[in-house]
Amino acid sequence: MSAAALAATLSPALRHICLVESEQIGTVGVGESTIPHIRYFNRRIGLDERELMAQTQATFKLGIEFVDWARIGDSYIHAFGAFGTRIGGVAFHQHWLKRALQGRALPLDFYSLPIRMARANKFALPADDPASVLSAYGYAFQFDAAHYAKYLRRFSERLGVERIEGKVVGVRQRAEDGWIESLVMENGATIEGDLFIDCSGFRGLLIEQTLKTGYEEWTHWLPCDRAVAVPSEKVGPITPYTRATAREAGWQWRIPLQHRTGNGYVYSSQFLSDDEAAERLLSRLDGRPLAEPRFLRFVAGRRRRAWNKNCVAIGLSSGFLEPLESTSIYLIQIGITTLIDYLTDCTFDPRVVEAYNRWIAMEYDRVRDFLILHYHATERCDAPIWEYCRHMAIPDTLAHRLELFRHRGRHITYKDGLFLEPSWLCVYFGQRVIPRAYDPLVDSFDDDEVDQRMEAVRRQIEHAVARMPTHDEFLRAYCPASTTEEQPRSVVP
Amino acid sequence: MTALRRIVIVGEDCNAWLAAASLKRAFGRQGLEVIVLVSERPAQAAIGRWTLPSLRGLHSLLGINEVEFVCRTNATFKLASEHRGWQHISSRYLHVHGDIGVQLGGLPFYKYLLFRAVQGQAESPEAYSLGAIAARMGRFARPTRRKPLADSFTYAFHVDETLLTAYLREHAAALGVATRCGQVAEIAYAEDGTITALILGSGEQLAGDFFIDCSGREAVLMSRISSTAWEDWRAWLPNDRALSVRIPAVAEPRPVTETIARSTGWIWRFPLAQSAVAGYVYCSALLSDAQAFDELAQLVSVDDGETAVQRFSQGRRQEFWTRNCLAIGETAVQLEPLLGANLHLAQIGIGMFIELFPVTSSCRLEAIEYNRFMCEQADSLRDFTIAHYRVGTTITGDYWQAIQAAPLPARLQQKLDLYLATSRIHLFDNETFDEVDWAWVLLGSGCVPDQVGVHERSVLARVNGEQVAVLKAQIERLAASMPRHVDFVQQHHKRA
Repeated sequence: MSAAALAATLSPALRHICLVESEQIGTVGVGESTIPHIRYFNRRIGLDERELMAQTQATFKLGIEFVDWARIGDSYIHAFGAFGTRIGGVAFHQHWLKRALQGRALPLDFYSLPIRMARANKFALPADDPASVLSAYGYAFQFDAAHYAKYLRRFSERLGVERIEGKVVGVRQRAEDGWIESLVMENGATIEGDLFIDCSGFRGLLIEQTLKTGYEEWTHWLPCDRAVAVPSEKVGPITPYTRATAREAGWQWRIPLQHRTGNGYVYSSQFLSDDEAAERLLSRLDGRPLAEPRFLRFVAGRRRRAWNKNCVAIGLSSGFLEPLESTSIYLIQIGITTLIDYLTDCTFDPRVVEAYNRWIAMEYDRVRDFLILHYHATERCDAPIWEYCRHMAIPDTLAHRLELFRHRGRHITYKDGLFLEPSWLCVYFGQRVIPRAYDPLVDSFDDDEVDQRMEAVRRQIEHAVARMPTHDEFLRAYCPASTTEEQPRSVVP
Repeated sequence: MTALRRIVIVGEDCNAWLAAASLKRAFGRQGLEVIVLVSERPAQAAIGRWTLPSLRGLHSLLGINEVEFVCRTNATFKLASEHRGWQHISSRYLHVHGDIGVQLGGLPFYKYLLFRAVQGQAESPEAYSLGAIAARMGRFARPTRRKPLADSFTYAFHVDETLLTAYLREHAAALGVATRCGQVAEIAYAEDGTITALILGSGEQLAGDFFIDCSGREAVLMSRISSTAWEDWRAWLPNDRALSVRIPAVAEPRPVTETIARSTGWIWRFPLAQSAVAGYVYCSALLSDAQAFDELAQLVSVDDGETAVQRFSQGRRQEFWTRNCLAIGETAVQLEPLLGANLHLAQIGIGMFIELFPVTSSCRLEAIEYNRFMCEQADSLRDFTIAHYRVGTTITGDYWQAIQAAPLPARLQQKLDLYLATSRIHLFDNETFDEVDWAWVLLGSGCVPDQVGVHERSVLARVNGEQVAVLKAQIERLAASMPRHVDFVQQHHKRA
């Protein structure tokens, strides 16, 4: 993603990009679930969405279904879209809350188009008219990350990125200040550069092993430190959503692609052994496994500085947050696009480096808080991990946010960073964080009038969903998986 | 029925009436009673003020008719502020309430100007702004979507303070706000420290569930119940006096607030429909009131005019909401009027109070959230004000040098650092002014960044100069077709 973005957005006169990659070192991706921001990235660098989907076995994603999180038996969807629209300047959920507290509300889900679409396994592209309820949702993709990487590699090479196959065995640093001068390859060749982007994954070949930047650990808030992944045979209709099911020591993902399903179990080694995790995962697949389970180890946290000297860590080298909200690719994207926005020349002004690091830290911290909410806001006491998370001390930023919501359904907005009000609302309500009171302004409105407007929204959504094609039908018509590897035909302006 | 049945507001400036009217309008239907306690000796206010465009939003919220508002407050329109002498003796630039140019290759137009400035071809943004050209020509019309570019600006007002206060008071009364007269002699508290009643000089008790302190600097309630400290901004903003005088109307009033930097502060001037107002904001340690008056008299005709002097000390309360008492206006924040944002800040404060209107008798969480939000708002206004003194300035003298020497607030330093290094203008959460406002001030003051981002350079290098020239001509034509500001204002007053 980094090479493609740099090549596509910087004019050739300003850059020479060299991608060092080793075939020996595998990539993680089984199936990757994304969030709608990836569409901005694809558009910004000039990728054709349909072609990309066909090339990566992609399916559409309207959100994530969370199963068994607050209580066993619960299910809610965090979808990419809002509940209703503001009524008289007051948030829709406040009007709903009044009715819910009076015991006369329909489920909140009825007022969310993408949730209703997901539950019905339907899909259609959002309408163009921004005033229409039919445009008030976003979508993302579930795709094969390895295919996406290959696709971007071809795209980058076509734009002049030089790709060097081989393994890095040494790093030369400038004596006076430790800046990286060159990489030493296994075959003895050296690769010099002005700026080194570390996409080596969790180990952080340059940012950590060479520059010893340091890591801020968040295991006390996000105790999972292992994952085991396995693809399985496709069964039944393809769901336009990813599923995350809370388990005895973490949670299990299910990501449907066109040709198969990606599965994994994210768990805490403190509460479950690797063998048990693999066994449980295999026993809970809905289709036959297609490969041996693969294991991953990680530590939740963030690199203290994403940009250190002339090295920028992008992706897992800059931090690890479990894929519960499908943020891995988003964090790569934000790392590289912010870098492109901030680059002026090769002197790397410390004022710019500081600003970049503040930004990336803010992005990580805000995602972190959102993830912690899923673990903390639970009523489960059937397993030690849930007992722990329910009682753990949470970051102050999240504690205030959660307390204020519980008190009166008030959401605290911020300008930058991921997850807007609809996302927080989905998770609060889905995790049974039910406010004790509603916004008093709601009482200044006529109940019958508001009831009618709410009912109109609900009906509009139901009618729209009824008319939509199923997700499978839509995929077959729009972007059936391609059997040949095509050169990206997308053009960069 | 809301958790609060009666709110008592102490004060009688326009903030007090604004608060009263807004609360009554929001919750009056639910039976909320709003009482304003006015004293017999109101503090002296400035003779006039300039506002931000956000006041228009308030009009629709309160059900105020704009034509009526303009007539009743002797108002004129404001498209821009003109800042003269802030960088050197002959510098002048406009800060327009509106866009600069149109987007180019997905980038804001000001980036193009910065790109050219870095190459040594600096150009004022004014030629690319309809609001600026109209302001320079003394023309005005309301923005409209009917023609391209004709909605590329917005506007604010110049108003007579006494008339504004009277108008808002009348409006509040019409909404059902009650008024009492008296001084607060003592405060009666409940066991938990919340206020239960104000005991007036007459011995009468004025009970309430919630109290809003709009008493200005005196902070009649806050000074007694809040132990939290005052955050002092004087190292950056040493001015502590505001002199204002009414002056004769000018022949061709421009829709512009003028400010002129002086050796110990700045002088301002703007037109009203029937007269004009001028003033001097200065630092009393370096300039006496009499000296200030003399200096002002050299620039404008102050003969026999009404005058007013206000004292203040720039800074803010660390907590605006303490238990069941809220500070609005100068009780909460004292900031010189350079941005015209004080009424806006009160408006934001009242709006946030309505959004966080207590649901139970305990409002601890609401207070925490309110204070967090409002402190960010206030600090961002402080930072933007400070920036006017700090960017591109080469003025010498004790006053200016002391201001230059003070280390900047961290966030402002970060913002300027990033701008200087990359030309990016970063906004933090809850800032009133937008990227384009900063661009007006940074470009206008000649503060050119070291470099424009490498990606932006590759986009901007492809910009077609002809397209830019066409835009300039188009704006010129459009501005010339607008009515004269003086005619537009007079027409309003005739219509009413």
